[in-house]
Amino acid sequence: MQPIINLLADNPLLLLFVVIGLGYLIGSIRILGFSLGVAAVLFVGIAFGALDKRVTLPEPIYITGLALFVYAIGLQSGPGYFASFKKRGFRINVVASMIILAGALLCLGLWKLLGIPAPNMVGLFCGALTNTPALAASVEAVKSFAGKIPPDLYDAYLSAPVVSYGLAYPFGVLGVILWFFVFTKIFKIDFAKEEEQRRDEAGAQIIHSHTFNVLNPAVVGKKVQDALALLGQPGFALSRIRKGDTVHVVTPDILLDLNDQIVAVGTSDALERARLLFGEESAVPLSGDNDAIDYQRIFVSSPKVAGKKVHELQLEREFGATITRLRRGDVDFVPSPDTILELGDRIRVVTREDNFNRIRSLFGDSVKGISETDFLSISLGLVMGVIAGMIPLPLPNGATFKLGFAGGPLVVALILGKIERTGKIVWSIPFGASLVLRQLGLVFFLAGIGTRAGFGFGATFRAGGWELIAVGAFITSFVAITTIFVAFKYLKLPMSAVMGMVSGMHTQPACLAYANQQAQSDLPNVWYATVYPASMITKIILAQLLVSLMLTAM
Amino acid sequence: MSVFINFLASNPLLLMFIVIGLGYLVGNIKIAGFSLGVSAVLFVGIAFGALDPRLGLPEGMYIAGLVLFVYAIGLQSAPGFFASFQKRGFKTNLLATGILGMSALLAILLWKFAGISAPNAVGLFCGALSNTPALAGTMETIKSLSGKIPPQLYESYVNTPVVAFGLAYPFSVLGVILWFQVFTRLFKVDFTREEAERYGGTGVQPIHNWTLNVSNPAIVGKTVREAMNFLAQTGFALSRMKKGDEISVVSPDAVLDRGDQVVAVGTTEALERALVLFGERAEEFLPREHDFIDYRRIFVSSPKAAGKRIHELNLEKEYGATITRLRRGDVDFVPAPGTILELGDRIRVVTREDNFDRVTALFGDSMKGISETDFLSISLGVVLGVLLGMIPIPLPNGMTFKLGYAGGPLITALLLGKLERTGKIVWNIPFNASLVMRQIGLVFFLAGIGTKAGYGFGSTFQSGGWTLIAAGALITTFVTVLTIIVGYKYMKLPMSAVMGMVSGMQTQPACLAYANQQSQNDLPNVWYATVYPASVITKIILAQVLASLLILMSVSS
Repeated sequence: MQPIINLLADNPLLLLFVVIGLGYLIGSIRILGFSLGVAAVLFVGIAFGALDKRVTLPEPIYITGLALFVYAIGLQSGPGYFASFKKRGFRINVVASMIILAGALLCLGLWKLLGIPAPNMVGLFCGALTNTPALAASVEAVKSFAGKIPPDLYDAYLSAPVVSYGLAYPFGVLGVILWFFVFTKIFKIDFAKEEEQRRDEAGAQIIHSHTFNVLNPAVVGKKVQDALALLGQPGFALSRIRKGDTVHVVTPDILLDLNDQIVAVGTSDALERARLLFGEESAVPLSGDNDAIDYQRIFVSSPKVAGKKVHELQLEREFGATITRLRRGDVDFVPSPDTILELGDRIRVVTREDNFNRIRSLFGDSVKGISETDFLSISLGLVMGVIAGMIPLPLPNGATFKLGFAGGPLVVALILGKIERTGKIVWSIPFGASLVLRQLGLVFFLAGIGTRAGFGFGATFRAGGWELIAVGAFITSFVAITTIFVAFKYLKLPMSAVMGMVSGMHTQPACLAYANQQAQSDLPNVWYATVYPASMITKIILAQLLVSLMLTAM
Repeated sequence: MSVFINFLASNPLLLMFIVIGLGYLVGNIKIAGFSLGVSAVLFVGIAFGALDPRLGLPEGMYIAGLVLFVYAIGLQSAPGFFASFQKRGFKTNLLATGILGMSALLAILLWKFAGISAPNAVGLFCGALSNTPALAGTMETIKSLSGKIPPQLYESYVNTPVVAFGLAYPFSVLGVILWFQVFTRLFKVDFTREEAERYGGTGVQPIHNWTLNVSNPAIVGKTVREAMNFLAQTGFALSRMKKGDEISVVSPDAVLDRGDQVVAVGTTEALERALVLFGERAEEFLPREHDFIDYRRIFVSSPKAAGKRIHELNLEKEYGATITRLRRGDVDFVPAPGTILELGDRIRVVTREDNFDRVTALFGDSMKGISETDFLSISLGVVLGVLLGMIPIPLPNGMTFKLGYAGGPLITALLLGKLERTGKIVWNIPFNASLVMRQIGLVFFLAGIGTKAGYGFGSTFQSGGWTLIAAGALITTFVTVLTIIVGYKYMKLPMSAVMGMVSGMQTQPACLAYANQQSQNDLPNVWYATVYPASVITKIILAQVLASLLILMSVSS
């Protein structure tokens, strides 16, 4: 055993990949339909870290991983974050802050009841909710009480929060994941069904194309754009129109005549609207005339069009082409003129066959193009994020706090993801590349914090710091379970959103990773981002308040 | 300024991304049609490193980048590497080894006549050919000779090669890129045309479909499979056929009757062969009935299909479907039954419309699937590679050397890439993910060695290390220019291959990155991987031989 430990201690790189590889292996094992997924990397990391103090990964590796992970998550969640904030973000954040506040009150109660020393209690609060900036802030707060603390105890008062934090931290991550698992079973959650329901509500259904005969007198003689304006939000796209014997691509200026045939693309609901508009559905579909008009799937890979709205491209006028479907990630939908194109989108373009070369060069259509990451944009964003994380932000009580390596890049990425592009710089990362960066960043991060947290945990586990660990676990469980109940049962949020929310309140990317893998949708990301900033600030303020309250009461 | 330096020194993460970001910015600037590309990250790194010795990135970070980069390169180059071994790899490797041997002689001449001390000459040799494992090997050799070196000189004997290495290193990258640029201009190389010639005159050939009438009496009454067997190499695929009024997907067992129509897909050249086989071209296209037989582009994202040959999937029998085109990266081609599918391939499948769900399920067709990397396979491969790099390999002279972090993972990846899959583990990384990993690994590595080499470079520059720099530049230039002339003029290799070969002989990813960016094709990768393994080993051996030889000779004289 010793030679292996020495080998791993001397070769952090080997350690990194052994932890990741074993983690993936264990994470893919299914027991009773449950698998840990990528979170297993964390557990394997803790197990290795517990072996020996020297078995630990260098900090820069996992900090880099963390920054990449949260940055990519933030970019992707940017648009959803701002949209959801308008809808219900305020209420959710109030709920989240209240629950965290209840957690702090619980700490006060436990302090009174169990006689746990004040500095330890604060450390447990920060560790159980896995928030390092809060720990840093409470250590600062303890320092400001230097006059009240007996000089011989001063050093112990400064180190006690850190030790307690380390004890509570592992369960702060593991516990949340455990409760996710337990409640998913208790509530019998089927994530696939949940996602399906959500998509139905969002209208992202199966897309069909139908041919309609123009018979409705109300639209005959009108231009297509005027006819569509009657509907407000059509929700379908028009691709081809047959006039007499010739088939054209539908342009907004084309006049609708009686007995024209027109092809509309959309969900069943939307096509029902199209039927109302045009008159009747044609018994015979407009046949594909090979030589004239065709469709092709094209990749959006050119930075010239990415981040622009569909109507800004003037496709109908300039090319006689129209976009009828868009696939982003693995989801198909019908784009509206205001849909913003992103790198990596696959669009279905309908046009004359001889137009395809021009259209392809407009959009790029290169797989290499959508995978080649623009590190200028990423580096710029990350540098801004890291710097944002270093700025001391003032708190109402006169103290300051920093967002750190996770918070800074996250907040910056949310804003940049919403902006989409600034001049020539496209902020969003193509879907595929973003996924790779997130994964790579995440496994580095998980392996890193795992090995680093492992030894302290293992040592106290053996020496019996049981009481403190149990109290920390209690706080973690209280916050996690309360949130799951309130959000799932009373706010009626889908479980994937609840998991994202709990992860955000714990400001813990590892929990988010587990939630993402279980949920198979991007809901956890959006909810994580929604509650993250306020939870971070709430926890920092509460940690400092706890210090003041408990130390003044002494 | 010093506030800024202190700030960066205490924040390596910030330093790294500033170097990478500035590097990309500088690399994008075009001057006279020449841009540094991603290599600019290295030079920005050197510039920052020169400011202060504390401005260095932690080793762990850039070694991780290096390992990911070479591992992904190795996997991707594996098929080409083994294929070129059969064709001309042996000759090429012989040439590469020969030129490296001559450069070692040049180092001896410099020691003899230019008054460069033995440890300096060895360090220059390693630095001018930019090989860190060789430097590490040298130092082990020097340590093993400790009994023969005067004790008061021992310390300086161990340290000198590192300084000389640092001095020669920047030009070993810069110089190679410079010579690439000079010779590209001198020989008036047009990479677009070169690429076009490689694909047989017309660039990447566009793929067409022709409708053909079955009118060749030789095949009437035969099954499709029997008919296709007439041709040694088809190069086209059959998608649909019309019998009477019925249109169906072509199955290998269908019997060809006179008057049937078939649709063949391929390059013009391949379609000419199809024309000869079937008889004549139809006047009209076989119409594509949207409700009946259709085609779709599908992503290969399921590990069940990846790494398998097309004929193993039994598409025609099980699904009544056929693959008519395959796009890998940005290149379209018509797959043969023996073509091995890779994760991330986009295939065009022709089948009945109601079959698409089953076919889609077979191949996966998930963008998420082709971007989600299997870190079990990668980690296993990297661990094997790193371990391989740590094994001491005995040399004929009784000493040992190690392949290190670059050589070990590279060789492992070459072997695993050739295997394609082992049981359930698919070794290949999807194209998309591989590209991202290569890029991120490379920029981390470049930023890391840049900042690290930067300070030594700056300080010795001031203390008059000019002779050493010039001597190092001479060795770099010798190897580079000789290889370019022999490779391009005598072996008639395309310039993109020559650049890959030089980068491989220099074992220098930064040069390769430049070559890739200029040539816009993957020839440099293939040639890089072809000469890389032999070059690393040759250089490590030569450096150790050189060290023992020069030190023993200078001590005795």
